Amino acid sequence: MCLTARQLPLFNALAKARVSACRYSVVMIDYFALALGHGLMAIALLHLVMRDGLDVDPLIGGIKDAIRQKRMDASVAGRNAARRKKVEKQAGGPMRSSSASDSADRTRSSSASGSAKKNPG
Amino acid sequence: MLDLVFLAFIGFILVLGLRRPFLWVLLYVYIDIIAPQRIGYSIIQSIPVSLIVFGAAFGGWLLLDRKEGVRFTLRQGLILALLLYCWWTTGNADFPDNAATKWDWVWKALLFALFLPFTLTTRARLEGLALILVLSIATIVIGTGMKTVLGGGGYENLKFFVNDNSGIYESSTLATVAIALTPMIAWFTRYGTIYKPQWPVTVFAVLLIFACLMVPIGTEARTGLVCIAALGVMLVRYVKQRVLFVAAGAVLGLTALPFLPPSYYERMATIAEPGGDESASTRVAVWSWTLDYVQENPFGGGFDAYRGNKFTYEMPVKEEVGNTTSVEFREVTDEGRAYHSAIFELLGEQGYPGLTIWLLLHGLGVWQMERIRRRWKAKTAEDEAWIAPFATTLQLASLVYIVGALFQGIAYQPVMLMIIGLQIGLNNYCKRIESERAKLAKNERPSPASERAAKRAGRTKPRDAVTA
Repeated sequence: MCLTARQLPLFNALAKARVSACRYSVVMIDYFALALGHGLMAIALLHLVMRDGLDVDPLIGGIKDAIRQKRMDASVAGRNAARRKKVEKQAGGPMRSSSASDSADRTRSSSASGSAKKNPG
Repeated sequence: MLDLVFLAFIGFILVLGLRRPFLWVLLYVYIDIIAPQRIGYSIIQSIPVSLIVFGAAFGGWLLLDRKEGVRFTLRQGLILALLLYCWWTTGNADFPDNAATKWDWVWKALLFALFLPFTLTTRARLEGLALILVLSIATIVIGTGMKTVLGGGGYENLKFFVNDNSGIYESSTLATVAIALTPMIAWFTRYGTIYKPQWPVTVFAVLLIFACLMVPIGTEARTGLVCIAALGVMLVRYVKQRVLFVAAGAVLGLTALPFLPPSYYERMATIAEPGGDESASTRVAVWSWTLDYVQENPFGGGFDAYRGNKFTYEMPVKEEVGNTTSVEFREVTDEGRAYHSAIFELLGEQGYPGLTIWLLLHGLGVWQMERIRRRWKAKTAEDEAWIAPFATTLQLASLVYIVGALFQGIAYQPVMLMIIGLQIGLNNYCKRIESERAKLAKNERPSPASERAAKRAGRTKPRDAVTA
């Protein structure tokens, strides 16, 4: 391409403008990428902070609860606790001082002393 | 200004971590990958952010974490063995000063990889780490992809946030890591729970995968192209409609060809003709030097032992005069050329013991992920269906990395050590579920005592019936 003496400064100015525009767009792309990446990370970390399952896994926790429940069901103490709970539920809440729970306690203590008496014999 | 933005972000996550200390682990991952202290140029460079955040991550785990289900695994033992072995070879290195410089970052990367699995005890944590890994790489890759599409690419021409050609900011390394993470990006479009699988996530993931594919083109990294090809071949195993996948891949590749710059074709041509390029032709010479070196030093020469190499080889030099092109073979003498392969890097620096540990570390990872994939692929419940595909993405990440590592000295690349941490964490998580399920099944079986009681009851009932 041949340029006249008048065209040459204009061409140089255009070339300089193109280079500075390129530099500017590169910087803008960098800022855009940094803003997008950091924004998405900040939102993700906020979600994680508010999440229940971050420190205790719900799936493993569920299996552990099921094991605990099975063990309670299998043990005598567990069965008694479950029975107590059932009685309390039927009576409409915790009835520690009520006559129903007293009688239940009495029945349990009498059966326990009965079995204690039977054992030595 | 940029420094203040970075410091505000780090401060924000540090404050959030007061409630959930695991966030400090994720913050360290972000700092280790993006390195904001190297992007910024004033206050942030004078603050040891990496050290502060590592202290917070480790201290938070030690003092505040529940540490439920924490176990020390065989692969963590291998990382520890590699760490101790590297420490020993550094003490006996051929080039003590250079070895100490490399040791300075390698031990931190290995120590963090050793520590990371201890913190990965829940699904949310595994996903959180994978997401921060992907988003940290995305922050670098989005800019790279956009610059490539807008015409700012080229070998050693594409500008990153940091332009010192080190760590993840080395073009071939970035290309390998970006391609290795593409299956994981796709995983988030179906199984993510932090960002729920909806159309914006899918659109972002598609664009991000496209940007990842642009990295090898923009940087003209030959290893990146090899990684894309390797990933394409490996994906055939996992996709349901294989013929359609192969056809779509071929059509996509052919459609992309006219848009590639001529310089890209010229550079990729040197894959098939390594003799035509200095970087490619020295690799073969360095590798054969390493094989000779390790015969004399089977326990390795410590970090940067390659500085002792010197060799002469013939390279074709093209000269164009008018319309005629003449090719002349000239003798080129090179010295202190880097290994250009993780395998030879380990062989030269850590000898046979180091290479064996490294191969075992990665081989076991691929095998463990395959085992998890097979065991969990039939699961359909929402809280289990994610496991097999996640194992697949981690396996593919490892395999792509190994392919890329054949041609680059990236044996201790922190991102890939974090992928190993994720693999160990996932394996532990699956083992914990299986072990708890086994306990539950044991509790559901009637105990021998209750069986005896049941038998006794069975015997006494008829007798009671008779007496009654």
